Amino acid sequence: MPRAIALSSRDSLLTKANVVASLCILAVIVIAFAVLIDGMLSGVAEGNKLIALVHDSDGMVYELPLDADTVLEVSTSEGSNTIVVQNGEVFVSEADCEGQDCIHQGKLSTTTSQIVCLPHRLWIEVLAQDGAADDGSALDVISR
Amino acid sequence: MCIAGKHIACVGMAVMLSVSVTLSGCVDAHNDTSVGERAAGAEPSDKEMGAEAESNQEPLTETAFLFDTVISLTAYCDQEVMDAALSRCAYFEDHFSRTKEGSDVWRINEANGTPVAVAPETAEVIEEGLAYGERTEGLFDITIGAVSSLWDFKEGIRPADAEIQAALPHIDYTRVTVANNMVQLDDPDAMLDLGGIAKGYIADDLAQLFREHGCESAIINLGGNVYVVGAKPDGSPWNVGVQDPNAPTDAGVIAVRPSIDGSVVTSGLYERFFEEDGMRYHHILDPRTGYPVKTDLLSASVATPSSVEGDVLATWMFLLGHDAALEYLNEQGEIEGLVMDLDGAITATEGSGFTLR
Repeated sequence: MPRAIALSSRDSLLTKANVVASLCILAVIVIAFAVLIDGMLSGVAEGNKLIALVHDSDGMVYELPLDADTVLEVSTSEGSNTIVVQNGEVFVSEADCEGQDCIHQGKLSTTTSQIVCLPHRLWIEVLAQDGAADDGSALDVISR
Repeated sequence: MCIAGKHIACVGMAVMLSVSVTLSGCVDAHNDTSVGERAAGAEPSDKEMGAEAESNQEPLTETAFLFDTVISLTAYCDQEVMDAALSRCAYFEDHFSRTKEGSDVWRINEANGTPVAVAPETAEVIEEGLAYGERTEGLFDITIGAVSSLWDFKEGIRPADAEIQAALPHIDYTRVTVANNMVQLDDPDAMLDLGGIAKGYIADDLAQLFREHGCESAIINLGGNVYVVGAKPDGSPWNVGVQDPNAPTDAGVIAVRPSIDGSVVTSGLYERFFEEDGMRYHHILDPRTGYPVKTDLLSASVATPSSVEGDVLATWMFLLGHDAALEYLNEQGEIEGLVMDLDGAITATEGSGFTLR
């Protein structure tokens, strides 16, 4: 009889409703934790991180991750180009070449084509960090 | 007392189990090859694989500034073959360039009407160009050089009308003689310009080079003049996109033409142009007027087994205009076309493999 009373006094805290509620809260915490970890790792794990490579006429290659906004000025004996990474895209914002073709070529965000400044022999391509050229754009080449 | 213990133990185990399952799912997919390796291209295993270099390797890519544009060769084969292909490109640059001093075309243009000895490839591409002159009734004319040399679409230089009028009579493909690898311009003031045919011819040549070296899977991209050799290593077709004229970035394509062993050449007014006093001057000149052709097309793409054919036709379509272009293309068995009009309407030939996006 005393044992029964002792049990029920402990049990009063651990009623079915209390246990279910506790489990639910724990489940939410676990799921939230899992999502947080998944989010932190997935950018690297899935290999979709895109990097712009800027090649200049001196053979230098600058690596600009597309997920970090930045401005890069490249000057060689051929001339100067200002390369911008913004909102996951890379483009040339300024250049001191006559034709300004590189600026008209617009913005790159996938691996399929390039931006080229012919007079400065500078060109920009985008690659996916895991080494594959395929970033899900599904195109292999563009006829233009 | 055990009941409370059991509950806590169960919940504890459930938490540990959930967390470990979730974490294991996240972590094992991480596989990070450095970008530097990929950019360098070559992998040691390629050399051993030789002609069978197909299955799981990464392709090699070479990019160069040639033919007044940027070219890109991507192929599943040895570095040796890539080097041979680049050498071959340099060879063509040395022979076909109108502006490179000492090239075959340069020497022909400077010869004042005397016969000039040229490489067999030069003789061949000129003969093909002249044949297209006849087929297009002069709307495609490789002697357009007398006029095209007056324009500079990069610097935005437009000749005076008097200069154009003076040059026009010298555009006449019927006044060129080719025999035994000798080329003679019957008109000493005539000039050759192979700009409308060279890339197609070179793409066909490079495709043959890749195949002869056992490379059966490659993309040849000469400034947008595309030839795909074979299929991808897994047998699926290469997905060749067609540039959206109104969105000159890689995100803008108007159509896709899945291709195995074939060429897709696109010409567009948007490729090279300049504006002056509110007028836009694009680079597709009309041999009849010496000025940019007045046309209702903005872009024309031609898919063919032969890239030289695609190159010429893509230009010719602008001179034909929408209706005549589609009529002609629809009559050709192995050729497919896709045109975009100035108003944005897109039309493909019947039964073509172009899928609009």
